[in-house]
Amino acid sequence: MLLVALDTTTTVCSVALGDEEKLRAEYSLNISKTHSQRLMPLLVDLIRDAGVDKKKIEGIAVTTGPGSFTGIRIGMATALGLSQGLGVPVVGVTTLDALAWAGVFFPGLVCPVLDARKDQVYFALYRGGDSAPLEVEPARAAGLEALCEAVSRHEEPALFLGDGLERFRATLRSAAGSRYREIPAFSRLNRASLVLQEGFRVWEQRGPAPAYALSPFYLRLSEAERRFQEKNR
Amino acid sequence: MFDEKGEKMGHKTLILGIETSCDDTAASVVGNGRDVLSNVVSSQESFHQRFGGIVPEIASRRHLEVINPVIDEALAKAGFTFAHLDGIAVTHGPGLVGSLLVGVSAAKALSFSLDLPLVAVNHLEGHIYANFLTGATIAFPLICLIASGGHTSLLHVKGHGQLEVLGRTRDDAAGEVFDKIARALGLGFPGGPVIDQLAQQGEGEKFLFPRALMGAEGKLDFSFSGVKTAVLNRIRREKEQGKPLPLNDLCAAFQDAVVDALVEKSARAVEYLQPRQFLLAGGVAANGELRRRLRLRLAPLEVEVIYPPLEYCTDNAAMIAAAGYYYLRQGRLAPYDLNAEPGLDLENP
Ligand SMILES: [Zn+2]
Repeated sequence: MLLVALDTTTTVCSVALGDEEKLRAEYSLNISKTHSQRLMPLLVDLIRDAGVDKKKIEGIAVTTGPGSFTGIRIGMATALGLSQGLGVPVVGVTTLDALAWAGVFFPGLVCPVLDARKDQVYFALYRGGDSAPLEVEPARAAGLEALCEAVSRHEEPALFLGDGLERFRATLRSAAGSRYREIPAFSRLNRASLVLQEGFRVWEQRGPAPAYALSPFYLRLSEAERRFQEKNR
Repeated sequence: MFDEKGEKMGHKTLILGIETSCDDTAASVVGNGRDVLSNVVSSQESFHQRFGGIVPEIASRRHLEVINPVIDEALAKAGFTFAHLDGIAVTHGPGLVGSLLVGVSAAKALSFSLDLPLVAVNHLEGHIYANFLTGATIAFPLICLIASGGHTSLLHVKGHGQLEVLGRTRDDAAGEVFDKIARALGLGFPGGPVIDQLAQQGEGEKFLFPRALMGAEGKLDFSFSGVKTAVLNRIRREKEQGKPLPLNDLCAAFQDAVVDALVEKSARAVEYLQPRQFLLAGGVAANGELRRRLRLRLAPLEVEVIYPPLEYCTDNAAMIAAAGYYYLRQGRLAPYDLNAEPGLDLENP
């Protein structure tokens, strides 16, 4: 089955094309240009360069978050538009579930951490070392203490990855102590091939989302809703 | 793709319009730039009400939830499928960036998937094209007054895509002051329709509010912050006296002041350029008093006054599809790196 994967939830704009057996093509940009301008041209090039007729595409995999709210919507609106235009289903995967695949071989905790701004991180914990990452702590938007606390509940070495490392490395390192590990810089960013990998798994386990019923995984209320709830508590 | 020969043979050029610049998610199918075959608008009003105004993040979230079903509905109501379309037109600005991005991303993906040409429409220009949906024959050059919640401009329209701004507001937009005064009077949001209604039972002469930039200075520009401040001060003083607010009279006097400025500047532009047609566009074009007074004032100037039906005054995608049809005929196609342009102006389309 031929799937196209998109990811625009972080600073990386990435697209990939492949089937269960083979990654056919992947293009990624990690530059500070708007995803809105880069995503479609990348996708057009990807499909053309892979020599694939777009009518042969059988489904779309897209990250639904967590990440930049605007980035989530650019990716999802594009994925849903492709789905509507090509008449193929969409499968949504979380950014953290996809990123965990980068640490699948690590025999211990795999900890994808995304910078959520406002001194918060998006994170989830997985156990690696098997054929697929196994979730051990669900995704959350929280302060760094919560992440450190979650890591300290487990005893294995902890492998950190994701764009949250840039800002929070020192704290994570001191919290995890001798258990701290990290993936080299070039291997720890979001890539659409990881989304493809997770996409195939979700497709197999749960099937694609019913038409347009794909929900964004914002993990956080909008500012206005948060303030409204606080005021009316 | 646009096909003149096909059109003459009776084939209609069908454009799907997509509009998500603010808080309404809209899609429409329009034939030959004038026949509205469907016009679907999903209003978000109830989502923003408890916040007392439009919250951009909530608007963006809602657009993403409904855009695809809204497009499907527009096609179904028109009785067509994607295979019948000749092009896709989408609003790329001005507006709220997060809202615009949902429409632009969806439109690009559809255009690519379906091999359909994509055109990017300036939302304000779209408002002008709402007048093409009236059945009237529009002939350039003409003058158009666009008055909405975000914009107030007088334009000299010389042809498709050839615009000259004659005057614009220097501060608040006309629709914006209607909303602010309505809020101060506790009338809710949006303010235009309520004020229009209450004003009909009021006497405008009871209060005198300033008319903006009526002198030669400023020429055809507008300014509404003066009248806004005067009305807000009057509301405060009336409240201090502890008596019930003379709502109807306040609304009538306020509306008179805004309409006066709009009508007077429009008349000056018509006297100066002597066009044969004058178009009204934008949400404020729905105001009954503005329509009545414009007719009255412009009648002796031998200019035909045209305004869109109410449903095409407020934001909709039919006007975007109509504009898109003419863009397509001119070959003005949008590339796949099209971005949302929240600050898009009228003179750099
Ligand atoms: Zn508008």
